[in-house]
Amino acid sequence: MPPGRISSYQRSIRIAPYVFLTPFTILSVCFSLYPVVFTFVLAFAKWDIVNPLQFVSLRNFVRLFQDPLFWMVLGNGIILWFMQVPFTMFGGLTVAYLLNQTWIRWRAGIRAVVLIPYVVNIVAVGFVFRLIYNTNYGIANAFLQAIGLGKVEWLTDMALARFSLSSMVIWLYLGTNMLVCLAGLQQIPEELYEAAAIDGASRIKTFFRVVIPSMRQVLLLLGITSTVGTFSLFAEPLVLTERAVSTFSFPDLHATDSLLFYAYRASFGSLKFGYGAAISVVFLLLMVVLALIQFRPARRGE
Amino acid sequence: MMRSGIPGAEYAHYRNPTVPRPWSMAAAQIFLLAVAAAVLLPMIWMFSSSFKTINDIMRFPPTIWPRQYTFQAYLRLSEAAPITLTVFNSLYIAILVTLGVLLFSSAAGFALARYRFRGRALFLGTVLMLLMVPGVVTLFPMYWIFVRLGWIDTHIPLIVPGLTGAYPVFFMRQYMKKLPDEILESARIDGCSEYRIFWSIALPMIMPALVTLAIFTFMGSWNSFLWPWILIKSKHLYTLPLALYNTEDPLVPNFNVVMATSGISVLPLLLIFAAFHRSFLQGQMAGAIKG
Repeated sequence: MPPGRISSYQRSIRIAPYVFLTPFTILSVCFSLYPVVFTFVLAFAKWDIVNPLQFVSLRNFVRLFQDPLFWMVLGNGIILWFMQVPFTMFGGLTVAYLLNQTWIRWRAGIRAVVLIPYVVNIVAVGFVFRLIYNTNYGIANAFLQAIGLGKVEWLTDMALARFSLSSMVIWLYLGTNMLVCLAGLQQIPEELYEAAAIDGASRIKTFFRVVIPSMRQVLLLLGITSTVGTFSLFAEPLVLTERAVSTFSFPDLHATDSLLFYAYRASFGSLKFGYGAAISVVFLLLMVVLALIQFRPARRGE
Repeated sequence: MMRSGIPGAEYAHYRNPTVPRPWSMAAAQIFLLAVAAAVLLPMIWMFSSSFKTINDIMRFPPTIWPRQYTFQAYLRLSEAAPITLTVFNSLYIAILVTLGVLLFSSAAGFALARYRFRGRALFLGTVLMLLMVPGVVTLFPMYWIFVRLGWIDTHIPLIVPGLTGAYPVFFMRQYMKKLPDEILESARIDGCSEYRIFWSIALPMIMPALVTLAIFTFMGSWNSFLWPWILIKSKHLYTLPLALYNTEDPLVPNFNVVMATSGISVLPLLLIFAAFHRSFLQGQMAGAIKG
């Protein structure tokens, strides 16, 4: 190529990637990047639209750590995490593992059924589960009565509300977890299974010594997304147990509020936009910390 | 072994270890069936409740099948919001979003997969990081942006920001990477512009992936609740999930109508799911394997 001379042909190839990326980039900067930056800036300010924005440095965060509702919501997140994530992840793994065995019947059908929740919109799911868990005419209570217990308040009792929400969340996400695990399982090379069989390992031993270690990365990915999901549950508690600030029929339980739901209430409910942004920032930092924590066991030597 | 066309995650590769004892087999089978039943139960309940009268729903103990089948819930669908208009809204928004995502993310994926250019790593890294931020985090900033743009209570903010998804870009990139260099090179030598190569060669070769992406995007848009809920106030602009949410009457029990509306919001996607089952699975699994 003659030095110093770039043909217009070469140039058009050089700029092509930028042209291809332009629409996506512009949109992302406006609607992805900017809002996140705005959130961070807002976290250090006090604003309610009516009055002008004032910067208050760390005051929002200090207030946050002194707020009992914040700690409750954080506790909710932890409790809900334990009620949802292990079951969704390992339930998904078990179902995927079984669906991967040739001796199981109706594999395709079961697989399809388990994926149905992904296709259903969250509002419909919420309403159905509200009907199921309805105190007066839900089948959950019908079942309890059938086995001799009395009716309980599935949606308005603190502990039970969390259970109801968790059961709904597990119902919703087991399918996609299963699918991810299935993809991961199919990457496990045959030789590992054969080696284990030659060594005389039982099926259970094979599962724990071969399958799970091979799935480390997948499980890590699932763990992180599930954790982020747990603390950001919004539509699920909204439709199932809570009401938006403006309505009246449920007492404000806060039992199932997630961290981001609390941020929403602070922003749109109390019009404390700086405070809400601070909660969001804490959420993001927490997610990073939790993700790093989960990295460790996944990294440990093969 | 090179395969022309698109290598989706090869799905039929099943394990075949030693077959376990009958008891274990039965237990495993029962377990799976129980899980399937647990998943189906709410769905069955939803549809069966939609055919009940409200009194039938409120009976205790409730029965799965209605005492008498009735269509009254379906006749009252339009009470909360104009149903046909709502469905139309959801439909055209979903179509626009799908077309937009297909175009923009395949272009972006093409660029990221097939070119080396300055800033590529930075770009990828930033997009990856933004991926980790759930949409709910930026509820208020987005709302404020839309207020300033005058987009509140219109359909625009339901369409435009949806085009910034990172997952579609990575998905497209994965498939674009697998395109054979020779074909693209020879097209280039023959004098095709890069854009022609993208449009007339790369895209058609990637058709199954585009179909899969289209299905997912369509479903995502159809089911989207959060943003319409925050941004839309006028009834004539409602999308289906939003109309569904407002269907419940706090004063007069109307759960059969709620279930009927739920049913029609779910049915189209169930049909699409049934029709495109294969595509669905390949897409999800290909996305799950970190390429």
